[in-house]
Amino acid sequence: MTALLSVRDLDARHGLLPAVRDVSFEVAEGETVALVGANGAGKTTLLRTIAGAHRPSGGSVSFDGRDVTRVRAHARVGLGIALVPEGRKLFPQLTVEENLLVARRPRENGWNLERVLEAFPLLQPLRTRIAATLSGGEQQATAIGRALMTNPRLLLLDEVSLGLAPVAVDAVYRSLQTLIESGATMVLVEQDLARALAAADRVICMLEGRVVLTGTSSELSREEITGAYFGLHGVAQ
Amino acid sequence: MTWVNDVVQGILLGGVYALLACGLALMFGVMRIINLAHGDLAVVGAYLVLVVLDHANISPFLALVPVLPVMLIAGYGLQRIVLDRALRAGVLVPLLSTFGLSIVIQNILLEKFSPDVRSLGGQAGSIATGSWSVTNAISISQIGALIVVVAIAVLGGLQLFLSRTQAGRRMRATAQDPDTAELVGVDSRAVYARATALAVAIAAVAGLFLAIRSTFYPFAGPTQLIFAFEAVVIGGMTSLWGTLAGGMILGVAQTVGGQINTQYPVLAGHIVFLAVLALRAALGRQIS
Repeated sequence: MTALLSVRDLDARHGLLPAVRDVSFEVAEGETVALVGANGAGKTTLLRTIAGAHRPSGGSVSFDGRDVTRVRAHARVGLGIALVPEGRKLFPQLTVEENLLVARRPRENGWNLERVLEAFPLLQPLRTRIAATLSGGEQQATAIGRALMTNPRLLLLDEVSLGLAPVAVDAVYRSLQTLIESGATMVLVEQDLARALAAADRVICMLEGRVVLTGTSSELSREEITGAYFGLHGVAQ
Repeated sequence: MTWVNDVVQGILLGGVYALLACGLALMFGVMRIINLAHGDLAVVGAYLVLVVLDHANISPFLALVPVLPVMLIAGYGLQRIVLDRALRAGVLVPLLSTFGLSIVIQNILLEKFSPDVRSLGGQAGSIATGSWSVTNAISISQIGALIVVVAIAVLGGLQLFLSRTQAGRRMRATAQDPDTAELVGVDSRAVYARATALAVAIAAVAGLFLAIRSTFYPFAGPTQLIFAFEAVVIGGMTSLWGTLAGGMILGVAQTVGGQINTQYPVLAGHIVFLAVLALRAALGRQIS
């Protein structure tokens, strides 16, 4: 397997505060990786840096063998990286359909408006609704659909279940499962460990900006991950 | 009947203000930049038409055709070279940059064209002076009617562009959230440059009509800017049709004010502007 995404020695900071420290990992084509860790562990900053929305202070990001560290966010979308940002970030005054169409980047046999609406049937009756008036689950479906409209080769999902009703989370994960089965490559940030382990092939656990534990979902125990999550990893050994 | 005529003349006058205001509204709507050089850019448009007329004996309307692409490029460059950098330095810096640009433009025009007051009315032919009499007391000037038609066409075209085309959708998305627009593949800087290019080109159209309808000189920009600014604010800053209505309300206020006393037109416009602001503030307080 060749790496689709390769992150090497990545550093990113907010002002003087280091958020991501010396992070290196690879994601192979077709793989689903879950990024877990406590609040403030640097997961969101890491995803935003991969997507080009945050400027790294060191290290590199390569995509499909090409160094994209200096490539701007909109150009990375063109290469095939799409981020579903934390908090959905829909364009509030645009309709659902316009939110989807804004991101349109057609490819043969790829995602288009019809296919996205098929994948998220709940959006079908909401096409002409203004995004600001949607419920959390509807917004999340629109945000994922919007990312799919760019026909990404790598989908980065940041806290897709945050602030959603459990029923809505189930619906979102059912559609993600369909994507995973269709061979999509994904990195997802998830607070719910059970969901992360169920959805992902591999888990990367972050603590205070560093990767402290990594392994396949099957070989890591829940206790190991919880230990790393709270920084007890070294203590436990 | 005189009053009816005043309202009609005010609406015709409002066409110029609306045309000038829509570029201002576009830049404020997309980038939150208040372009203090907007009036001066309109005057630049008028002078460029004058330069074309010096070289070719054609109608000023035809002379605008080569001026428009020049203004589009100038607007694109202005955003890329000056305003993009200014935006990165905070909210106040773009305002100061356009203020500086306004002074630079005025002085370049002064040096190149002398402080003489000019008009393109003479070269525009009969349309500049012709009018249709509706009744004995009401007449509609041809140039006034043409300006209103052009203003409606420009504003309507802009509205269609923003609501129906992919580039327009992307412009609205960028206006609402430039960072997220980048994340869905929109080059926000290119969108900004396109918006400024459009605004500057439309300013040139307004400048041409200003020059045909009345007069212009190197320092004519700021007065026009104030009227355009008031039109945008009266219109509510939310829609382009609001801007058209704002321009016309301001125009009517000025002509009706002029009817009350020949010294009042500008003052009446300002009073209506302030009244709208005060009313909106009072309503806003009531709602909250």
